[in-house]
Amino acid sequence: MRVAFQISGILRNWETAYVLFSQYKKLIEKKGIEVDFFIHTWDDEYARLCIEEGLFDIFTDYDLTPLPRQGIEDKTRDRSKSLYSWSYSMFLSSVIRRSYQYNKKVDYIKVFSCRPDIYVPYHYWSYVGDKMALESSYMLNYPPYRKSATNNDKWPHLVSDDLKIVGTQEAIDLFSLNFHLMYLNNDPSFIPTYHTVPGLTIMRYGLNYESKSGLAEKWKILRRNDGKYVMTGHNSDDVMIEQEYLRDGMMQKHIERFGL
Amino acid sequence: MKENLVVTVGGKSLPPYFNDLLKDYDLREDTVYKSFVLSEDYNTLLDGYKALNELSLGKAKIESQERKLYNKVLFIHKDYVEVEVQSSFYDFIKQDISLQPNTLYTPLYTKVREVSKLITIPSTKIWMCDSLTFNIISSIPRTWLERDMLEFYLDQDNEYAHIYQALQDKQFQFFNFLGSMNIRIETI
Repeated sequence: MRVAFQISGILRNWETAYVLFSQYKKLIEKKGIEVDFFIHTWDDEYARLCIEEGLFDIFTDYDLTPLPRQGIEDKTRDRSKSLYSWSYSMFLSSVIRRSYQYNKKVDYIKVFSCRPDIYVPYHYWSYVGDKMALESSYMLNYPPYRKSATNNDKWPHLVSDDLKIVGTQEAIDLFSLNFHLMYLNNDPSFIPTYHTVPGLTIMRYGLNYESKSGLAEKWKILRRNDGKYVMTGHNSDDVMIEQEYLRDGMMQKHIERFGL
Repeated sequence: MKENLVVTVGGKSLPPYFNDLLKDYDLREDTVYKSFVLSEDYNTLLDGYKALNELSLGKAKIESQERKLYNKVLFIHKDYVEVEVQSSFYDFIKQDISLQPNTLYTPLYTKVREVSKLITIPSTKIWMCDSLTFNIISSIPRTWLERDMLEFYLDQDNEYAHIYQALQDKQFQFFNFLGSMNIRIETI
């Protein structure tokens, strides 16, 4: 059994995230499951520094490309409010993974697609195991989304999670083509914005999703790089990195090495 | 990048008359065909479909680089192009039209009455759809592809009609796949 992590988006807090991903790898492999990591990220000074420091050695393959300026709509914060760059990077990450698969002739029972600055709660790994092979095709494990046309947002078709998407290989292959569905498609009947893109993609590509399993549980954003706190961005969610991830002392070594 | 794309699999060459028909089409061919041929259990139709997923990625890369989608995507299995297709489909290939989303257009099909309903079983040798629908069809898991599921779906009036009589349930799988992905079937 083999799974893949398809990581995409801007690289943040990678010194801490690198140690966490190394722990995720160990935990998965302990279950007798092979795992490959792939990343596409934007070509910036921080990403190049991380490569120089050897923090990309966890990846089977990776690629860096310049941030597409046409996706930047909020100039003051240098970010895309349409999820353009989120979507584009996810596609490019899937290209890296799929190209590797075609060359090596490997298949994955599950693909985890997420951003680099992510924190996976320790108990989540209890859901990763043999039972994953029993799931039906085109299945995403995904938190429930809601339809909304009346809240305070300007464009609220749907409210869906864009932090991570877990699914069978063919489901993630198709989901990762949301860039084509949302941004290259001239269909004038919808607009892709922050939390609408994942839900619209699921509906318009005819994907299945379930929200009851543990695999569908939400992860947290790693907003701190001190090797101690997760700090998801909401004050009430300020939690410490769980002790299980710190036992082997790797995090402490990195804190000292990088002066975090 | 041209307006349209033709995706071909199989070992034969396209007949010369396709040159004129497809002048508005880019071409993506199954380049791994030869490696398939060398394997003992090679099946031209089945392995042609196994190449679809990789060909689809090539299409998606071009579209992302050019920041536009192909208007029409035509699939042809070159090992079966001698099968006669009505001229209306050639006109359809040439026309500058936008296709309906989530729709597969085919010139070869079998009409079958099943479960009190007349259904259309599309050809697996030649069909057309828009770019996003092609993304869906080409994502079909390789594990779903069985040797028998893709065999002759042709009009009952032609020479292959007898083969329909021998169809097993699983030979409706391509039709079932399209239905499960909410893709309509239109005949030309």
